[in-house]
Amino acid sequence: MKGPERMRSDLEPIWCHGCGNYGILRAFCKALDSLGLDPYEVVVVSGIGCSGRFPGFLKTYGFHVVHGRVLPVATGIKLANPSLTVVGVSGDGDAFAIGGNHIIHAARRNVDITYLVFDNSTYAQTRGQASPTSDEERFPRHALPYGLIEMPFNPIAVAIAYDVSFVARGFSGDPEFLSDLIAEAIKHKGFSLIDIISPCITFNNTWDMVRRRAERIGPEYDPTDRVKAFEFATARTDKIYMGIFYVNERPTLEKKLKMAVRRMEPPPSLKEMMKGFEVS
Amino acid sequence: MPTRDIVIRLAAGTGEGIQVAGEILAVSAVRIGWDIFTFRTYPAEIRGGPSYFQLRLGRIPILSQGGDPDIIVVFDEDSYRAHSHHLKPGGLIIYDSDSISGIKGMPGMKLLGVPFSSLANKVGFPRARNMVALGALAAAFGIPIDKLELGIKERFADRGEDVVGKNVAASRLGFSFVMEGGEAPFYSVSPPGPKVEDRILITGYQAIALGAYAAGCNFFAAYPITPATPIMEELSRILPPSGGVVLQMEDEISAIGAAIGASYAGARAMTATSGPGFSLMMEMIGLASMAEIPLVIVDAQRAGPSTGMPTKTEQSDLNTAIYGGHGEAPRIVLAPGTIADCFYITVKAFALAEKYQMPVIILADMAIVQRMTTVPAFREERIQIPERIRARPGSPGRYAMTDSGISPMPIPGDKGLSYVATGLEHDERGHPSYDPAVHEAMTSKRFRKLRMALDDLIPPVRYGALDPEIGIIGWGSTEGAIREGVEMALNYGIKASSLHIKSLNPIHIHEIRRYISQPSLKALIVPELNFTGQLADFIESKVGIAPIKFTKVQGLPFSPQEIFEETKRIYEEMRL
Repeated sequence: MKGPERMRSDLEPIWCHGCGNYGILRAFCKALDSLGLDPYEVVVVSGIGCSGRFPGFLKTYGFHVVHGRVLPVATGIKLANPSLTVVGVSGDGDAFAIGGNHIIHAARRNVDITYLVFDNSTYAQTRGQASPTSDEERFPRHALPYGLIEMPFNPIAVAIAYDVSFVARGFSGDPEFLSDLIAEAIKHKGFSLIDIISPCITFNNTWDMVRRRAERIGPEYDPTDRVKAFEFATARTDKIYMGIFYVNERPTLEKKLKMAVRRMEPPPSLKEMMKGFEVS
Repeated sequence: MPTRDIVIRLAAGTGEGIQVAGEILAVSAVRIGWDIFTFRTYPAEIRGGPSYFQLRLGRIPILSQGGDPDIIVVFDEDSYRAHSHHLKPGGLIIYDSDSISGIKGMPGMKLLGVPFSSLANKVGFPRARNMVALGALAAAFGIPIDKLELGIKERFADRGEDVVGKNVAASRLGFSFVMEGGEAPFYSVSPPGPKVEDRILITGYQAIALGAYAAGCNFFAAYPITPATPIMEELSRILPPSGGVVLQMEDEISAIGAAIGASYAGARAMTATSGPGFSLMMEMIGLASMAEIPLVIVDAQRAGPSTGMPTKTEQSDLNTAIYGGHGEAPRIVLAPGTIADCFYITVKAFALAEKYQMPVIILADMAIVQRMTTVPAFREERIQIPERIRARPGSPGRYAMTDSGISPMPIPGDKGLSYVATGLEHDERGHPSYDPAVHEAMTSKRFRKLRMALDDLIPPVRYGALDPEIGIIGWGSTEGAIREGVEMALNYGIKASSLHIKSLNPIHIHEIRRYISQPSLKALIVPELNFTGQLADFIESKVGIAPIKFTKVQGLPFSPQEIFEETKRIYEEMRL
């Protein structure tokens, strides 16, 4: 099989008809194909939520882990075998609520992992509760009885503040552009995060709103200036900007590990190791 | 008349360097040819608060930290008050006469005041009070000063000549002060006997780390926690030069998560933690069990629940290790009883994890990981780790039903073999399934591996009388104390024996039943360092007989004397 289809397994997605995740699946397969990767070289780690089933629809290796722990597991995989392309997949609850702490440390380590957050601003699998990115305009139907009283979380601004080394926003309604973003993120050496707006047709249908407001970041924008990137990410605007907000090329943890330690060839035998415990 | 062994306790506020002094003494004793066994306890604070280091030395083998000390060295009045009543009758108190005055002592107590502070000041190094005490101690029971000096030089070698010189000088002043008093030596310990070759001096955490290394561990992730942190420190010294990765993660959940990820990608992976961290790991242990990922987890138990007593020992995570977490997640649970076990059980844990593709928990505890003792050098030829059964093109699905329950496992990067490892219930191909028959069959498959594993586990070891009237079943770090307690009972005329369990889940029910059903047996005691008697309950749940629970939950290990006293009490009760 040729083309993006070679990345797909024979399982049919279980998502609702009209779910944004179909667009992500299409964009993802196309990105892998465009990079010339073979499915066996790729591992996709997913958490819990509608996005959790994502690896099942792929021919790549996959690991569907527990809620919120995509990044630790992906970190272990990448460090155990740095030649693999490792991609993490979470929903906005998985990534920013239960798993939020891990983003800070993935950013600090800068392990070469691409993290795709399927952001529908609701807990769809548990039938539409408010999520960390729910705001008044993107408001889940089954919200709390007293309405939404918590402030929404700004994933892009926070990722820039954490110094995630590649920060972007995509939209599942623009899979061509999203595919390019994913390919760029995979090519980026280091931890990359793409917040992908992916409307939930059933519990938080924002399709029209996002389509109306979505706009690609122009070519004149410089993503290497962290302060400007933060200003841009927090600016009051009616637009929802898509594209690369921030890039900070720096050595990955796996590279630093390699440089920090002088390997002994061959490794010392147990007998040699025990010498340190002899008392003569 | 020389004594077979001697128990020495150094007591001070933390930060006085009693651990360093105790360890130098231990090395010197081993150099002479004695065996040693250490125990220490301290508060969670880095400076201040009561702490003590106990060293027992004498002829090989020394199996426990012993009972009441023969010699107690105290640095201040608080330590004197806290420890002097533990002194063995006729024992010796060595105290800092600069900071403690007016001690009257108790009948039969020998007192030896040594001006720790002024002698340390004399060499211009006030911090060397511990070295003055060490010199005094060596004189008190006849350790030659040159042996001691060698130990001090080794210990401080990387601090430069000045520090070495001052420490040596301070120890000499302490030594001479006692010798000039004319009474020393106060004790004479039996000569060590013929030199036993190939012994090493090692702690529990070092033995665990070395076991992991020998087993080919190449990925370790953890989060700092007392008392498991030294395992991480030791591995960060020994793994990286041989190509292994050591990672300090942001919490215990991510530590075990990274280890699971690494193992899924083909590494031999381990994590180590203690109580609170172990609780946090429960969901991930379930994931490893469900997704069938090989993994080794060390739990260095400490007193719980919650934060509990972080620097005190306990054996209270047995239920959690076997049953912890939601659902029914099979896992193997092993418990080292000796420092040699710390090594060989860790090696075994990797072998079992790789073969049965499941989490293996090593239930150590504070007392055993911090214990230092001599053991026969570990033997390379005893180490065999089976490769995990790898899938090949054309292999059945990742979770294929097999008689053993073990299915061939692809590793990411293997061409044409991709699959999704998952915590969801799944069919043989790994596809999510809520089919009633699939859940039943898959649960049974996962538990089948546990049943199969029993044949590969270390059976219980037995000590004492062959026709015992009193039987003792123990587990974990209490092995040496129980063994010595049984010896004491035998010497007293009680036919006692013990069965020490090294594999807790699955457990050797057949052997336990056979032990319990010996016709001579009149009582069965299960000593444990917990409140509820977790092993006793576990045995009762399996064999239907309720043993006598002998529990202690004080944050301290059993002494052989305590085991003996309880054995004697039960024995005498039975005869009434």
